[in-house]
Amino acid sequence: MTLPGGLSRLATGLQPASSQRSRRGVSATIAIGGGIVAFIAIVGLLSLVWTPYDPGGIDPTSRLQLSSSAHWLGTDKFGRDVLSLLMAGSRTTLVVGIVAVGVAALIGVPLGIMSAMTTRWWGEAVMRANDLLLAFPALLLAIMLTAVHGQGVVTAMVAIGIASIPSFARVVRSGAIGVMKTEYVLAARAAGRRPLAIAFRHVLPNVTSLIIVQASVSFAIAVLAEAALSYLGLGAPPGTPSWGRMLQEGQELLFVAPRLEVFPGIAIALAVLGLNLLGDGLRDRFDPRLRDRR
Amino acid sequence: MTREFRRQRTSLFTPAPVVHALRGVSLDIAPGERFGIVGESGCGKSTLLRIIAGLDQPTSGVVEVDGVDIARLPERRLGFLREKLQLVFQDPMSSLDPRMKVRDIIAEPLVAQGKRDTLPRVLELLEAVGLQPEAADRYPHQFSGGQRQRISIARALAPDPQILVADEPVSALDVSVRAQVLNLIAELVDRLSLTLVFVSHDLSVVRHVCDRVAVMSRGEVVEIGATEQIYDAPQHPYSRQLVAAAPRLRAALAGRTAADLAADTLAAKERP
Ligand SMILES: Nc1ncnc2c1ncn2[C@@H]1O[C@H](COP(=O)(O)OP(=O)(O)O)[C@@H](O)[C@H]1O
Ligand SMILES: [Mg+2]
Repeated sequence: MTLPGGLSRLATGLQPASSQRSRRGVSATIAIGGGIVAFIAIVGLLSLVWTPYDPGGIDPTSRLQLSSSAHWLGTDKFGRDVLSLLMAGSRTTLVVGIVAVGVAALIGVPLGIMSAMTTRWWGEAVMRANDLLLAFPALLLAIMLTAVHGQGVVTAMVAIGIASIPSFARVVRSGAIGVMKTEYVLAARAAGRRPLAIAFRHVLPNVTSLIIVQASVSFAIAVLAEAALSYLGLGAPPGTPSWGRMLQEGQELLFVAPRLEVFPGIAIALAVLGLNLLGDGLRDRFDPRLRDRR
Repeated sequence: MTREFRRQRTSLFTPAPVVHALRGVSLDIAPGERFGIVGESGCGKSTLLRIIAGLDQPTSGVVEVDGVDIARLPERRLGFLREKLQLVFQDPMSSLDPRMKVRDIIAEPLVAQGKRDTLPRVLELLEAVGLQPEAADRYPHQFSGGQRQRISIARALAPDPQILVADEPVSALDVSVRAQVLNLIAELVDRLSLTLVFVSHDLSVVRHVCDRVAVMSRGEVVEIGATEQIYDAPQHPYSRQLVAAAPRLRAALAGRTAADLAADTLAAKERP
């Protein structure tokens, strides 16, 4: 093809599309955050098939032991192996986090997008209801649901999920309003695109980075909320391993055996840190404009 | 035709302030014409274009395209207009979806019409706007402003429209690139016998591509006439101001006008 004047130069000025990305590899933030989250996920999966001891195995002969080659992190007041409890507890944390974030995203994202795209009255109404729910403390909601449905992991997941809807809807709505103002959405409308197609092809892809960041933040909050609920005796029932329950059971022995609080505390902090790092890293990476500018 | 926007209320006790973006605008654009609209920034040019394109509704008045009043039609009944009229926008950053490949961007009007196997048409369009076929698989951020406007033009031409509406398509570009894009538009409009509605705040740019021009000021059309006539003998005081100010300002800023540069490149092309 022959090109007039300066045009051939334009073509050579392009950056090689894919090599750029692979050469740089992943950022340190993603590597560390992703590594922590992956580690917890692997431990959780591993605990399904193997733990050093039965996490529920009560052994009165080996109560409150310190770390040893038999029990790496010692035992609790019932003689259960702390490492096994931590491993099994990660499962509860992961399941609660995934389900809670899933519930929140599945409801919050469509609400946010729809209220950004409609000019009708209910778009505003949805957001006012959202503000009400946002002002409502998650723990209070969970306590109320528990009062109605009884204590349990499912109640905790749903309560945390519902409480996380508003932050999703809010973040997605503000992003979607920005997208709806762009000229590419005007162009799509001028091309005859229907609202549903615009929502899926333009709005959703351009708010995914916001959704991912929000998901990781909400996941971290869910980890904390689950721990708090279980600590209050409203989450995981006795017999279900959970980091929050471990905190609660170790509390009375805080000055006798502080490690019973320290280990689950470290696990919770690590999970929250990993999720936040991962969210930040992914946000930068998923935005093509940020990606190639570096 | 009028268009009013309600501004956000500033107080609970006073009614929301109203912006009169367009007041009593009346235009006739003939098929095949190259019609220009000039006026300072904020005078309502984009608002007028959005209404012409059926993307916004006037507060009062009618907009007839081929005898059909589009002003009161709901968006889902504007299908005929979507095939007939396409737009090129001002901002080369915001007019292309950063998450879409160029081939999907250009194919969008075709896909919206239910067409399949759009790649051959996309490649044809890329060539028509002077881009390499490899551009199809890249993302918008990998292109310069001028190239992005070419992609925008390709998208606008995809459904084979009869009317091309361009909202300050070169205002955001470097002066040197401006002339190329301007020439491309003029050339394509000629080749495809399109009706062109071209908006700019710069009379010298409009003069380069348009036969007839409307001068707008503060939401009103103050003068309509043949481009040369308005350029040589502006009647309305605002038009006079525009004619007097534009070239001098441009000369001071860039040394030469975009139109001069465009004329140069045209001349260079014609030389054997
Ligand atoms: N969606 C809107 N809401 C409120 N005011 C608007 C809106 N769109 C445009 N305006 C106002 O209408 C006027 C004309 O704007 P516009 O048509 O964009 O001008 P131009 O394209 O000539 O620069 C401006 O005063 C602008 O602030
Ligand atoms: Mg404008």
